[in-house]
Amino acid sequence: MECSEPSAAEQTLAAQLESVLFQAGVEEGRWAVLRNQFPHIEVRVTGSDADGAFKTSMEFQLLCDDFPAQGPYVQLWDHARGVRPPAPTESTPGVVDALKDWNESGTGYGGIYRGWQRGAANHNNWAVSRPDQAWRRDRHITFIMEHLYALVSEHAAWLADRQSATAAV
Amino acid sequence: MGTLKDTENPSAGAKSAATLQIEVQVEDRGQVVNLAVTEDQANREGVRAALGLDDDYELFERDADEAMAALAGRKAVRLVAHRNKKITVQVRYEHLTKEKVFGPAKTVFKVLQWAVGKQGFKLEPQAAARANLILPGAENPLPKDDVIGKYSPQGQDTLVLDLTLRDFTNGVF
Repeated sequence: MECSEPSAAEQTLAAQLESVLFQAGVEEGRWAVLRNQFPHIEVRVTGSDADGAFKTSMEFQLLCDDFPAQGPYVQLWDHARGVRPPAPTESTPGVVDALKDWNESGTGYGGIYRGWQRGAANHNNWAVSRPDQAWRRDRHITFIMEHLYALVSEHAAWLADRQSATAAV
Repeated sequence: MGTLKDTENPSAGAKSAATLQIEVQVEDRGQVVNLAVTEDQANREGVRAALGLDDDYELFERDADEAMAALAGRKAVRLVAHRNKKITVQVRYEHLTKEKVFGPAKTVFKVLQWAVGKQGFKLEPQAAARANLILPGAENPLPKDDVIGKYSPQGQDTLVLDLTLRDFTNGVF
């Protein structure tokens, strides 16, 4: 049986997943790889409020074909069930907006609604108007992971506020 | 210190039993330094020696306020080496100033989270989502994954930042 050589995209992604930048995030408890089956990887991202006292996690699926020429297509994911869960309705406006159900020009669900995400990058010329958020082939996979960490941390801060408000009542 | 090696130069010490990969940001130096060290050198003294830093420098794990503990058993770590053990961050917004002490390895992202949150300026979520921190008089906001020690060289243990809701669309940063 012939074993085919991993593609350049798979090799590049594998090297980045083994890098200090990515592995440090794993050891810091900010993210974990739940499944790595190229071109898909599934991750759990754990964010915290400003003090680091309140933490919460979300799971995401990244489609990394043609990496790094194309940035990953990223969606919220339920790893155990292998499906995209319903869009959350309770969080900050920013988190709800990023994770909403939306349809990119009739092509189906467009992924996380942010300029750094492949499925949204061309929406309203987003990547051009926000070059700081846009994927470029010289970016590292941790560019996406840091954005996911920021999103989950925003949700964590909202949950912490809600919890303290509830406790005060 | 023969088993410490620079990962940019894999031919150096190729037979070493390096087990810990370290990325270090040294104060306000632009470039980070990559090192690989053996487990018995995964401590303050070993890392300082590898970087040629004296005892004035303390080592912090990224985002931690306290100096680093032992790194035994770790495989990949990001550190900040800094001579300021604490940095007082003053954030100005409208007519108010809020202040908090952080370690030099705290990221701009975490400082921003504090500044917009309930212990800071208590911004509404819509405003918080647009907020950035910027050095006074600067054109562009601080990158959120930078550490604040990068903007606070030795002897300057107070860092003044402005909280801005400005739209940086098409900005170059």
